[in-house]
Amino acid sequence: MSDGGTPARPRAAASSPPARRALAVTDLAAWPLLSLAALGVVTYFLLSGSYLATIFEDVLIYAIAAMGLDLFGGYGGMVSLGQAGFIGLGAYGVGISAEHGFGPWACVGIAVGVVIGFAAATAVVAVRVSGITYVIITLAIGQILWGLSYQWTSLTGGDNGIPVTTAPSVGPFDLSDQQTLRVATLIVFLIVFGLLMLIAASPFGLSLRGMKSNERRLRALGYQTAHQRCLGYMIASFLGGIAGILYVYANLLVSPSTLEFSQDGYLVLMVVLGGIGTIWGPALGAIVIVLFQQEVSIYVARWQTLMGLTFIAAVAFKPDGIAGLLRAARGALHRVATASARQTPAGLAGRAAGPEGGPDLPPGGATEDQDQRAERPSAHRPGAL
Amino acid sequence: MTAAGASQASESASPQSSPALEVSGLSYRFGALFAVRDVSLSVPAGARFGVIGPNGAGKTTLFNLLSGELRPASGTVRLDGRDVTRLSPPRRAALGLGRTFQVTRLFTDMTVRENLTLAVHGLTRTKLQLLRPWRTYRKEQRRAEDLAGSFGLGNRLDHTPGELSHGELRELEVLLALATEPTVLLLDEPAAGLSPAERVDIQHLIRRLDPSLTLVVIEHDMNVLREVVSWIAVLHYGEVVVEGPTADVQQHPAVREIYLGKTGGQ
Repeated sequence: MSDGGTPARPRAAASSPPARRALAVTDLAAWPLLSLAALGVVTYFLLSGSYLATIFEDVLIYAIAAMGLDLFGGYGGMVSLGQAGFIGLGAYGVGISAEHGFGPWACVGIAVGVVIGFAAATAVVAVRVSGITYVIITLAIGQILWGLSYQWTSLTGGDNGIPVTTAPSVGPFDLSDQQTLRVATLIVFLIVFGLLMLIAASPFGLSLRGMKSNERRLRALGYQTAHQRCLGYMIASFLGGIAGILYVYANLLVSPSTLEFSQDGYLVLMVVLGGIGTIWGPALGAIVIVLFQQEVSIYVARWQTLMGLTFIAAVAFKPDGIAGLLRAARGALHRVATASARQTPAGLAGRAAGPEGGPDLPPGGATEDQDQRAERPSAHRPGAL
Repeated sequence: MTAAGASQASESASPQSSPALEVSGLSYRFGALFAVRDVSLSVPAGARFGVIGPNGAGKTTLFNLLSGELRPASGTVRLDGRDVTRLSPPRRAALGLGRTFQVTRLFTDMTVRENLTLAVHGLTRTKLQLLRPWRTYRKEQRRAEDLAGSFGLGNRLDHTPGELSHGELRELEVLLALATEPTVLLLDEPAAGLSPAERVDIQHLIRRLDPSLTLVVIEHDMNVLREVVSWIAVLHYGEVVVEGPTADVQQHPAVREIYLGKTGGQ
């Protein structure tokens, strides 16, 4: 009541930030449980030995590529339609060097080298162009790679592709064994996931978001955004290549269909459907898309139509994807929880009173004070972590 | 005349050898139209320097030339005696040039804390650090908090710009520029769109800035400008028509005619 002169500030402070902070706390509690549960389910199917194992192996592989795509696309605003090209580079890198008689680890090394080399050579694109132009040019790069894989038959085997039989061994573990490979894929996925979560929370990750939000301002603050762009592009491309290497050992074959245009599209779908600008969203998106491809296609002949409709519905009604849905669900849960915890009458009155509630009603004012007190301890938590 | 004004400025206010910011013969054209024409200014270190002129006089173009977002057709820009005419905005920022924008340019989908954190990391090597969360950079976080606290945004750290008042947005706009610890700060209409009460706030903020900071302020409103600067250059059709101490410029007949006359008086 004493601060009736400045009604705008306290009310704004009382509305969304406490909710956000509480969500951050809920996040902390829910995170390990949810991830453990998801991990348990995935591991179960992965090691079940049923046909679902191969599907979940595909999920993990595409998730690696999609998460990389999302780091630069979702955080940095540089959405690529050429990510499948890097899957192809990694896969063909292994396949072609195996055909030329290199040992399994040498094949992996060469594939990684080819991916990094090609990414470095094309990074100038990421540095120079933005927005829709970037989308189109990455599409062109992807299509050039696809064209090469299709037509340079002496090197790639053309339409038939290249079979790959021998995977490397890690100590006593032979990755040519599919079950062992699946465990290895899971481990690589977890490492990539962890690294990307870390990168997303790093100053570099923050600067990627800043670049997407307002690049001109970022430059005025001393950021030579060419560095951000180059590094982001290299990481995204590298992860595409890693996915490609795993892909070729999982499928024992690489052919032009690995990097055809529809694959680029699927990867972007995974990112958008899962939740752009989150690392775990694209992983969820990968589950949905791969299940569509492998499962729904068994029952529904026009599964692509169905997927297209799902996609349109998602973009129209829930543009922040599955991640957004989960966030909304958590928010709703949290609201229910706090509403009941707060011995409702005063709280509800404060909320229902709306714009004029603050200055007029004693209960409303008291609630605001409670809000402020309540938010303080939790406010320190995210910062301390 | 402008040359005389410039040398006068550096003699009267600066004991140092080279001015903090020096512009000579600067021109920029949009097609056949000169947006900035043969502008020469000398801003001594620690000066409070105002640039005023009606809308379309070339003020913001001049700022974009100073900050490096535009390359001049001719002329040079010197920062502490160093020719920066061909340097990009981030390089000029690294040499101590900070700026704000007339149209608020914040990272709108990020919180105040994230906005300030980005700015604080702007000129450090840590900005390309990949594997350590930015929240764990104690020194940088404390600096972001101190900056927000020192200008009344301390309790707004976890809000996004969409939740701030217009006055707070303009403050944050200035804070972002201050976070990089510039030696020369360019403020592009810091009071644009503010209510009279909010204008007083932003004037307070500007007056409280470190006296050693060299300040160049663009305004089209003389009432705002005269409170915060001691020297004014008047820009008209891209040219400096009058330059001198604030009081003199206010009284100058040419200014009254061009400026107040053209805009239709009060």
